This record gives sequence, structure tokens and C-alpha cells, in this order.
Amino acid sequence: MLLERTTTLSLNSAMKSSIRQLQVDLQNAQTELSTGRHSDVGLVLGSATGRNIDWRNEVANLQAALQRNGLLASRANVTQASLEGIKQQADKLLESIMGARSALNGGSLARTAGEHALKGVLDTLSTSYAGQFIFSGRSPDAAPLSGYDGLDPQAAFDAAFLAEFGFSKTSPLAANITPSQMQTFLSGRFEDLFKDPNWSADWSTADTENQRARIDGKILIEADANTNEMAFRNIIKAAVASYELGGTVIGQGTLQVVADSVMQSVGQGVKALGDIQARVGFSEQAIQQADARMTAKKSVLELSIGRTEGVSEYEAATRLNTLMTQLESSYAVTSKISKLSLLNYL
Amino acid sequence: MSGLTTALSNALSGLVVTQSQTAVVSRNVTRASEEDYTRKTLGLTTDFAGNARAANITRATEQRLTEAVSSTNSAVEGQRIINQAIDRLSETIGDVEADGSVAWGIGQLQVALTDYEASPSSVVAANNAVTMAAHLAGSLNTASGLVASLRGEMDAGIAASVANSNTILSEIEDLNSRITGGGADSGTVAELLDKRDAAVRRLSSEMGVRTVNRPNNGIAIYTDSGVTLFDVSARVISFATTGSLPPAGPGNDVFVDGVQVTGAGTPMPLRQGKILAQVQVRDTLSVGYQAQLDEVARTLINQFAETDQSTLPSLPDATGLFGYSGSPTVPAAATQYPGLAGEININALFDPSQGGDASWLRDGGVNGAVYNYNSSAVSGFQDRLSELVTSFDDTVNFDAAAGLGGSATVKSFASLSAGWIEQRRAEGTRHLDTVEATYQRARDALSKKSGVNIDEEMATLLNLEKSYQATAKVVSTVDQMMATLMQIVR
Repeated sequence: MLLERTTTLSLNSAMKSSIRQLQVDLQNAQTELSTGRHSDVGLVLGSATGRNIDWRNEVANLQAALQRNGLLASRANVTQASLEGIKQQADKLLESIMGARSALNGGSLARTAGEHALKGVLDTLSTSYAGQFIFSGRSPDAAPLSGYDGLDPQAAFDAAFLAEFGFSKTSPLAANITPSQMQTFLSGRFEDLFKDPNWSADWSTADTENQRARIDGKILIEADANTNEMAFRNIIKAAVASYELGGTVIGQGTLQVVADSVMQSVGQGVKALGDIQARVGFSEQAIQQADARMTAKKSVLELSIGRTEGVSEYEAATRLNTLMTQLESSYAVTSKISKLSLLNYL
Repeated sequence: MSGLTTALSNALSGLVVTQSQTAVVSRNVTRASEEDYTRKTLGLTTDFAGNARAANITRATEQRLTEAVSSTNSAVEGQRIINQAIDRLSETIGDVEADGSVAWGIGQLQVALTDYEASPSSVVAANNAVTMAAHLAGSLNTASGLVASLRGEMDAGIAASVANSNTILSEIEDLNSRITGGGADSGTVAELLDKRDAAVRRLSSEMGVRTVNRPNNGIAIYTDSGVTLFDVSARVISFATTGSLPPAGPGNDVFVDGVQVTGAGTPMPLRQGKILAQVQVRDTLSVGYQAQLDEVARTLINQFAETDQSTLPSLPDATGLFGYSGSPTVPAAATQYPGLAGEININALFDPSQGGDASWLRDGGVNGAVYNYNSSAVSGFQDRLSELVTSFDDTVNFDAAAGLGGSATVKSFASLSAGWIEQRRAEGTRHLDTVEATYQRARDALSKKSGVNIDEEMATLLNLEKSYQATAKVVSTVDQMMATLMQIVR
């Protein structure tokens, strides 16, 4: 019979290497239990590591996009509120001018209403959010409109008035302006003040293009409005007409022409404003939808990351226990084997 | 009378033989824990008179097992070198959770640019995007530096391995000549053989070897590819340290006895061992990873390059945010520019910390007015930034030398590169486990065949003790008988 031999050296060293391995495993199991992830994720994932880095990048991307959308939604809210404010001011102007049209002191009524509307609208259009003027288009650093009294816009109006009628707006000669002369002025020189290039020279520093917002990786939307849009020009035009011409000494008939023009402009302005409100509202909806989509995607990705990189705590705990038992018995066996020698019996 | 004398002389020679056997047993026991020691046994013969005589001391060994240990040892040592190198390279990736990898840096840069796109007039957002870009360029530089230093270490390692191998070979030459030279007794020869086997095993760590027996216990040693390393005299292994390693090219090769044994075009390439592993890391693994890093760097430089914005463009593209030693010339598409990952940097004109202005990123034109994208000079200009943001998702072509396929987005290319390293790490670790287990088994088998079992030696010692006692008894009995005989005579 051939008996397999062993040697003292291999008997002793066999235990040594198995205990070392057990200790390494034990340490790994301990890490896994405390972190809930594989102790060496790269080793477990292998070539799939790249995929997980992609996932993590995507999650970070979505996280950043959601944050941006949060800001964007607040900004759209502010825009919406400002538009609503402008609409109310326009409505009020319309109401007042209707009253002024047939009132005895129609001129001063119109002037007051125009002044309020002008100030209110200019103020609202200079709203800023997070340090950016929201109605400035692509020039968010500067307020889109500076003001009226004593500034370029008023000077431009005064010049236009003088050129049309040959006397200044404060002149008593204004009482002689006929309704048809006024009509010519309103649809001619006055109208031109609110058209390019006069508009951007005298009034607005805003860029004609709106800033776009990336709400979902590839989708770009326009969530803003800027002062160059016709809605605002019309309302401002109405307010200026009401304010300036209401302050002159024009007769009742001529004032009626002015009032009609103001009402027409306000009407056009408010209608266009509604379009802008709808557009911003649509953007708000798009942001919400994008958010819902991205949140869903993010949680799916996070789940995938957890599934591939994580270890079940129950499994890790069981393994830890098994390893501890194994290590303990290895220690016991090692000490017993080292005591085992023929020498003890000789 | 002659019967008694014969008995006495037999007994005396028995005592001598038992003593010699005891000496062998005691040597076995005291050296039981030396790994290279083989169990020795004393052969017995009888002379013409029938007396026991001690013959040769023989070693318990088996060449097949010794060779198995050597070759598995080569495999283990080689794989260890490769795994350590991959571990070093995977430091550039880190845990996927950590934020160190190049792929992660690219993702962060895209996020920063998208933030900047959302508020193009914000100086903070602009500076943040440039900071992220600087961070990314820095991590490419670090990774490239790590690859270069790893390659340098490997080159130095090859030199050390070659020197070590030459020392071992001259040691073997010395041992072999003493073994074959005659004049040494069998005990000494057995010890010398142990030493020579150990030397061959050490040599097998450096390179795969094969041994062939020669007369008088002599050996000849060949590399696993068949080049003579030792036959009567040691051959010279030569290697010149590579002064400066080209980023994309191989270093110097190793020659044995004038025959090239590593690198391209060798007819007899080494198959195993540390030297081969170090050459592989230096010339294949590191060079492959460097190519991937270079391609990432090149793509980033190309991606941020500025285009002539004139209605009739005439000027070539020029490097923008990311630059290198050749700026403003843009590196050629889909072609590796060796060492670019170590060179890539941030154009100082963009970098606020170097007195630059980050808004070049939004407007372009850092290379001159014709490259200015923001012709209307508005602070909320987004077109250029949008172009940069979406360019991260564009599929571009990569040099096939990088080994990751022809086209991908820069983000997925970088993460593929991380996967490339980690896959090699996983494979290497699995392979090392396998070869280590084989090595362990071969060593166990050899140890079982040639090692010492103290219990066994003790049992032999008991036998020897008994036989010594009995022989001594014979001597004293013969002595008494002689005395009795003398008394009768008197």
C-alpha cells in the first residue's frame, strides 16, 4: 500500500496561508457590512466599471439639471407675476382713459392715469431675479429700460412733437391741434418712436433675443420675455400718449382721438401680453414635465448603481459570521496541530 | 575464536553505521523547516567480510516536481508584477464613487458648462467652468505622469532583474563546477545540489527556465523559449536601461547570449517570469493606457477649439480653452499625439487665477477677432456655450491604437478606458489566484516528496537506538564470552 507522506513544513505552513486568507476575507466582509458596497467595486465590476461611471455621471448631470430647473421655475414664476402686474396696470389705464375720454377734465385724468401706468410698467420691466434683469433678453446685466422723465425717451417725444406741430408740447398753441392733425402725429412720428431703430436708441438696452434655457439635456426652451416685444411697446406707447398728450392743452375732440388711440394700443398690448403669458406658462409646464422625467430617470439609475455596487447586508453579515467561526476553528486546529508531536510520547 | 572475532568486528561496524545514520537523521531534523532542504538518506552496503558499511548519501527529490515548481513560480512572479502595475494604473480611476477619474472630470466639466450656459453673464459660473476644466487637465496630467513613472520603474526593474539573473547564473556556474568536479563526498554533493536547485528556482522568478540533466549530476539551463542560459559556463544576459522612454514606443530589449528574447520581432521570446512581465507592462499595458489618455486629451483640445467666424472662413481652427505645446495649431483628428495627456493645459488667458478672463469661453475670439462668436457683444450670449455643451454628446473618431474602438463620445470613451483598466485588474486578480493555487500545489507535492517529517525521523531514530543497543549488547556479550574463555585458559 502506498501511503501519502506529508512533511512537518507543509503541515505547519498550510495553516498559515489559510489563516492569512481568512483574515483578508474577514476584513473585506467587515468593510462591506459597514459601507453596504463591495469592498473593491472596481474588481467586482471589471469592464462594467465604465458603465457605472457613466451612470454616476448621468446622475450628477440630472442632479445639476434639476437644480437649474428649480431656479428656472422660480424665475418663470417671477416673470409670470410681472406679466400679470403689467396686465393689471394696462387694464387700469384702459378704464381710466375710457372715463377721461368724455370727462370735462379729461386731459388731467389721462395724464395721471398715463403717469401711473408708465411708472408701473417701467418699474415692473426692470424686475431682476438672482442678479439678472429678466426682461433684458441676452443682456441681463443692465436694466432694460432706464426711465422716462428727463431722459432720452422724453427728449425724443418732445423733439417729435416739435417737428410735427412746430411748437413745444407746453405751448398754448396746442389748443389749435385738430383731431386729424393729431391722428397724423399719432400714426406717424409718434408711432415711429416705438419702432426700431428709435426704440433701441431711446428706450431699450435689452437684446431682441431671449435667453434660452436647457431644461433636459437636449431640450432648449425660451422661458423669458424681453422689453422689445410688441406687447410692452404698445402698452408703453399708450401710457406715454396718455401722459404726455393728456398734459397738453388740446381740445376735447382731439383728446378723444388720443384716447381712442390709447385704447387701441392697450388692447393690442394686452392681447400680445396674453400670448407671452401663454408661452411662459407653456415653459413652466415643460419644466415640470422635464423634472418628472429626470427624477424618474435618476431614481432608476440610482437603483441600478445600488444593485451593481451594493451588497446585501444580510448576506454580508452571514458571511462575516461564517468567516469568524472558520477563523476561530483554524486557530484551535493550529494550536492543536502544533502540540502534536511524537516527541511528547518518547 | 575466529567466530567471536567476526562477531565483534561485525558489531563494531554496525555501531559505526548506526552512528552515521543517526548523524543523517539529526541533520534532517535540525533543517526540517528550511524550504530548500531535501531529506537525505544514507544508503548501506556490505563489504566482502559481510560487514555493514555506509554508502552514498542520497537526496529525496523528483525532477518533474522541481520543474513544476519552477515554472509555476515564473507564472506567479510575472502575474504579480502585472497586477501591481494594473493596481497602480487603476489609482487614476479610484473607486467609482470617488471623484478622481478622468471620466468623472469630463462629466463635471459638462455640468459646469451647462450651468454657465444657463447664466452666461455670471462671472462665478464662468470661473467655475474654467476651474473644472483646469481640474480635468490636471487629472489627465497626473494620470499621464503616473504612467510615465510606472514605465520608468519597469525599465529600472528589468535592469535589476537582469543583474540578479546574471548573479544567480554565476552562482550556478560555481556550484555546478564543484558538483561535477569530483573530489567532494556524497554528503557535500547533496548539499550543493540543494543549493543549485534553490538557485534555479530563484532564477525562475526572473524568467521561465527549463533544465536538462548532464553527466555527473551536471545541468544545463535554457530559457523557456530555448536560448541557452547555462551549459558548463554561464551566458551573459544583457540589457541597457532606456534613457528616455518615448510615450508611445517600446523601450530597449533584453538579450540572452546575444539573442533577443523580448520585444517585437524576436524569434525566441520569453514566455514567463518577471522580466517578461516588466517588458509587457512597459511596452504594452502602459503604452495602451497612455494612448487612451492622449486621445481623451486630444478630443478635449479639438472640442474646445475655435472656428473662424467670418462669412467666408479662411483661417484654420485654433485651440481654445485647452492648449498644449503646439497651440494654437489644432492636433489632427483621430490620430494619437503621443504624450498629449501630459501636456494638456488651460490657456492662461481663460484662467482667472492667472489673470485671465473666463468669458473667452462664452464669446470665443481668444485667437483673434475673426474667431469671435459673440458678434453682437451681448453678455447673455449662449450660442457658443450651447455648442460646447452639446459637443460632449457628439460622436467623434478615435485612433484605433487606443484599442477602444473607432468612434464614441468623449465621455463614453473615457469611461470605456476606466472599464478597460478595471477589466484587466479583475482578470489579472483571477489569473493570479489560479496560478498561485497551482504553484502552491506543486510546492506541496514537492515538499511531500522531498521534505522532512520530524515524526518519521523520530521513528527512524527509535529504530537506530534499538539497533545501537542491540549491537552494543553483542559487543558486551562477546566481551563476556572472551573473558570466560580466558579464565578457562588460565
